[in-house]
Amino acid sequence: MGWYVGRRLAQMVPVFLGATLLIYTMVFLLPGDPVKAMFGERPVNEAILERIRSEYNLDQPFIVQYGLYLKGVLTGDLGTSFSGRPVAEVVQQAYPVTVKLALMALVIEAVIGVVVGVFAGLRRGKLFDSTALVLSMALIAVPTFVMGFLLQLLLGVKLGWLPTTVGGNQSIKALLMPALVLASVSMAYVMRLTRTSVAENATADYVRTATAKGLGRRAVVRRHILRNSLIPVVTFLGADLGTLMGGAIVTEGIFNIPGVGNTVFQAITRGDGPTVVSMVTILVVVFIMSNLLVDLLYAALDPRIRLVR
Amino acid sequence: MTAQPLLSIRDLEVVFRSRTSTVSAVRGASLDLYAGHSLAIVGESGSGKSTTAHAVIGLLPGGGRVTGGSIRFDGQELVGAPASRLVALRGSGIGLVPQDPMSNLNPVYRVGAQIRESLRANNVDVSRSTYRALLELTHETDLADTPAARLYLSSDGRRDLLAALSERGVDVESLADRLVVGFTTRLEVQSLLRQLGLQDAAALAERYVVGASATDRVAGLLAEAGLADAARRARQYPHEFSGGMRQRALIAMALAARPKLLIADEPTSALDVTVQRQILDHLGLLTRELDTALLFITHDLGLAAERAEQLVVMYKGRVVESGPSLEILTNPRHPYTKRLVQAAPSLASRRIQQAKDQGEEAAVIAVSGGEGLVKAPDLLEVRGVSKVFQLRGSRPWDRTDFTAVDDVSLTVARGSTAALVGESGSGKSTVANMVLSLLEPTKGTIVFDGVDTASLSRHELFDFRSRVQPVFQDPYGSLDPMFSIFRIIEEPLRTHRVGGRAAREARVRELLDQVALPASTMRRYPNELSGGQRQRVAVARALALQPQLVVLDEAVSALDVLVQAQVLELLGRLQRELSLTYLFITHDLAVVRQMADQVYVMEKGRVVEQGPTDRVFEEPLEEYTKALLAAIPGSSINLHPRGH
Repeated sequence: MGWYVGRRLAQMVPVFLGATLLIYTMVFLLPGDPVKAMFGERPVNEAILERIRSEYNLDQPFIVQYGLYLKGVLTGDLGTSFSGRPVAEVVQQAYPVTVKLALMALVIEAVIGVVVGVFAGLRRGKLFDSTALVLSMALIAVPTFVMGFLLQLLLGVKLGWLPTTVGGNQSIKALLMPALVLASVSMAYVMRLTRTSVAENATADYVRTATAKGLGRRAVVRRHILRNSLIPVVTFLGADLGTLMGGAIVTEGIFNIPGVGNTVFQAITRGDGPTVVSMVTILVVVFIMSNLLVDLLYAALDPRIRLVR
Repeated sequence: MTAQPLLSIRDLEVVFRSRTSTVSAVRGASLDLYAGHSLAIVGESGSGKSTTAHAVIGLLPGGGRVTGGSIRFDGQELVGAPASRLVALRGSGIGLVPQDPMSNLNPVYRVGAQIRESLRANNVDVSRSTYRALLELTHETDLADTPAARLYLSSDGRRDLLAALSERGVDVESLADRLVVGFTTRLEVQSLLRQLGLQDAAALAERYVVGASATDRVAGLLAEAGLADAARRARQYPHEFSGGMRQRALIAMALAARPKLLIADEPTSALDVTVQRQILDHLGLLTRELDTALLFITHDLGLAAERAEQLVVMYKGRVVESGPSLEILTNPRHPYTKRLVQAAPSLASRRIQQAKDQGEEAAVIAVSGGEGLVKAPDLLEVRGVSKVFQLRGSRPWDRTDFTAVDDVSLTVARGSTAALVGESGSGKSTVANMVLSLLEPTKGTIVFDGVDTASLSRHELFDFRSRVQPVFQDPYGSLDPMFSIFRIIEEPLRTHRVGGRAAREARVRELLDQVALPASTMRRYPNELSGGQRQRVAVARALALQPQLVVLDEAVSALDVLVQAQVLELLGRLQRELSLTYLFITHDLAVVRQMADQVYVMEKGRVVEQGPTDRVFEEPLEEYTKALLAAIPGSSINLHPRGH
């Protein structure tokens, strides 16, 4: 297994280089002069512009810019954003709240999705199952922002149970509503996946054998149906963590959360290259790491999977 | 014999309901099985034999319900019994050895854990402390008074006993093998020690054999089921077991709580013949020793007659005939039983042999051995072919070579049938894949119709593919479920641009006719057909391009005996009509006897014996061939040619 992890980590190097290069190129190719954009409509001295350009290495050719950026990253310096703040500081500010939000969403979708899915799978074709299916379909069909505004209106304004927006208050209570919105679609998928998996495993031969051994229904469900059914679900959840972190732009926008999505969006509109590249690269690394984690977890859950090479 | 049967089924009715239809699977079946006896239910799939067995243990698949009749087990009525009574009965009263060892063990738990579950679910607690507690309850404080036959040797006890004995200078070498943890009882240890001439045998046995832990007992159960190195095996996962080992684990599991009745539902049909024989022998031995009644379900009449005292023949949900096994075999009365007796491959080959013994040659014996005729030029020649696979080790640079096929040579004469026989893992399918040019040989050449297949250009290879066609074992897996039957059979024609649309359709009709399927089958899909029908479709597809050589890789192994007989007959007829050449790959020697002119027996990648079919069957030279022949179910039955 050590070899396997080593190989996977080694694979991250080209992925890291490719991702940063790709993002750097795209930011470089963005139309408009970001330095001029800093000053808006105000008239500026050309000499000042030149000085700022050389400060950010924008006067260098593309490949030199990229090389300097990489050198910075390797020496632990993520550069300075156009607003003058070090990028490292921007990252430190944006990531914690997004990680918190993503983890809350993950817990919500895992708990509700799995519990509902198991019961639906065991009662396939019954009323509970049909209701759960229809509701999950609705969750998938309704766009995230509609769901967001609906909950804001209902829980925030009408009932006043939860704060309507997050802003500076990043408590669990304040993040509960956005987490719910963020989790909704994945929750529906988790529920459907669990349901299918449980229904399939419930008719497996080894489940019948377990019953024939004399185990009661509960023990059969707990020991033989649940664990086998959760293997694909765990895989999905792990891969979803990365998506939840990167895909929170809409949700963060609706609830005014100063997280990764918001920061990246604003940086793109400003043409703030250093910020965009660093923020997105970290997302890529998180994604790769969570995938590696899933593969290791998969092997731990299913002894048939052997991680070789 | 007790007057009361252990299991008594009367007028059992089982119905399967789906949204659209209701099917009666069992219609008024009755049977009696006495304690310690054995009974086999025989019939083709869909005859209701498995359904009857599952009704007994209350495990009918979804939609199935008992609608009438009664099942009495050990004096209790099971039809309409509450679920709790069935749960209590399963495992401890009735054990089940299921059909497919591959899918019946939970892949995520260790084998030992799954057997221990069996013990725990039925409150068979073997730990010492519980035993003591129980004894105190019954006021039997002296351990010696307990039934010594139920206290097992623990791993600690074994170690201490052996140490104590070797200290005294006793030769423990021979003894070590016979002291099996979790299996050998105090009584047995006592007698073993007495045999060694030890005066204090009883005292030693009492001191060292004080009951085993659950882990030890699990190992003992596995050892009892015939698994070597049981303690280590118990810690492994099912995927590390071979099919035969898994079936042994399932037997250990079914017998763990010492049920009075064991239901064995086609327990070995997924296994190789030699393994099949070992397992059935062992199962027979165990059930006799433990005095367990055996309800055996099978589609092979020969196997049933060999393994059970009583036979019940079922057909379309009804019991059509029942009685003592040999009686039914030698003197079948119902027309269906007669057909079964004729179709049983195990018996068919016996019949050929016996007919020959009586001098009734020629007419009965299949076409000819190829000898004596003008020798046709060989269509296929395999010369010294080897195939080596590289297996990955635990580290990136660890590679081990695995020789799947080792220097195999064989020839197939035009219009004849050669059979490649061996157990799974013998390399026979690898040879087939190389003949089909799906795998490249590591060494050696394959010459088809005078041309070395390795020298073929891309274009020539395309042409070669139309002349050599395969039919695979699994008629479920080898037909695309999304294609209509027409599309399946037409596809090779289209790929090779044979004829126009109308001509292709006419050809498909002709092919369906050749394999005795109605033309209306064209519009249906694989899942609407039975296993036999699907295999006919697979044959039709293989024949579409008018090949010269058909490679039949276990083509009939997955089929019921009656269907198997039909498909074999079809293959024989097609061979005569279209002068086809067959390379027949199988583990089933009974089928070989019916089909092949020339036999090659493979073991561990090598051809160990070859020759004309009759010679190999009558005078096998190799031990391995003899073992294979002896393993044919029903080979031990002496068929009297009554009514012949």
